[in-house]
Amino acid sequence: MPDNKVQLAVIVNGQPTVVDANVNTPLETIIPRALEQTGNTGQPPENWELRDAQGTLLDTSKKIASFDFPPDVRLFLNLKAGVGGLA
Amino acid sequence: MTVAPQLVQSADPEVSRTKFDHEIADFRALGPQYTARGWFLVEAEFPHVFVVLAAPQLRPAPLVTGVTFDYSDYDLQPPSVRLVNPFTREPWKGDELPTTLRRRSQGGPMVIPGLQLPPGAAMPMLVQEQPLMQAYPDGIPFLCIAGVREYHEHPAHSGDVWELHRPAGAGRLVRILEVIDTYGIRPLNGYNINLTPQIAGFTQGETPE
Repeated sequence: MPDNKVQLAVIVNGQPTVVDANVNTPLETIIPRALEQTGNTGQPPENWELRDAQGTLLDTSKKIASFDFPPDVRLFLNLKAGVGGLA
Repeated sequence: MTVAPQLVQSADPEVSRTKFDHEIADFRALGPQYTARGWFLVEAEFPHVFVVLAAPQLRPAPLVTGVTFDYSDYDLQPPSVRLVNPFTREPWKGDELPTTLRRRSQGGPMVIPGLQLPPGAAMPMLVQEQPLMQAYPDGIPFLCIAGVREYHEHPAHSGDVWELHRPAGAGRLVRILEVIDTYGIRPLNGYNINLTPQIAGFTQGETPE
């Protein structure tokens, strides 16, 4: 695999998948791919949020390389709360 | 323990059960990761799931709340979700909730009559906090987000139907736990302690001969 390629394990709403990514692109580029691979349709990528294993929200505008992810990293992609709390 | 009214199973029970089993299998496959975050899957027997959420960032780490899920009729219908006492599994009443899942959101521009802003200056924006746990005054609170049965059954949300959210997995176990954790558990950073001093008598210096 070329040096700029990496495979990232992404857990989409609890369902795992592995996404091929380029480390020189923003982290947000993996979101549409992870959604497509897990068949999560109906909500655009901006309605999802990506967290690390500790639950910390990740800045997806940063390049993948800048996170220095270990090989066994797992990222957690979940649908945002959306509109709510207005009953 | 309060027994919730039985929900009607309209979907093929085998379909609901298979989807339920997937939810539980996916959770258990990453069980150690969720445990490290304070999520404990205590019981899972179709259609019910009972999860306890702790706050590992606090010392000592408390069990903050339990969460019960009812996946009856899933995913023709979204799951029913309740925050409950983790020891008795009784749903919290409004004034008992250990956390109301407050979310900060940007309101409209803050218009101050008579205030002249310099050219190019941005209008100050209002910031508001909205609890995601909602209830009628005498009712049991419910998690007011799309993907939760109580949200979609509420008359105020008749225009936001479950079918719009189902394809994105809005009712999935991990997704709903993530929302509860994000707004109800992770923001906790200490204990709110009330001390009530009581006078038990006097202290005395050296006793005279």
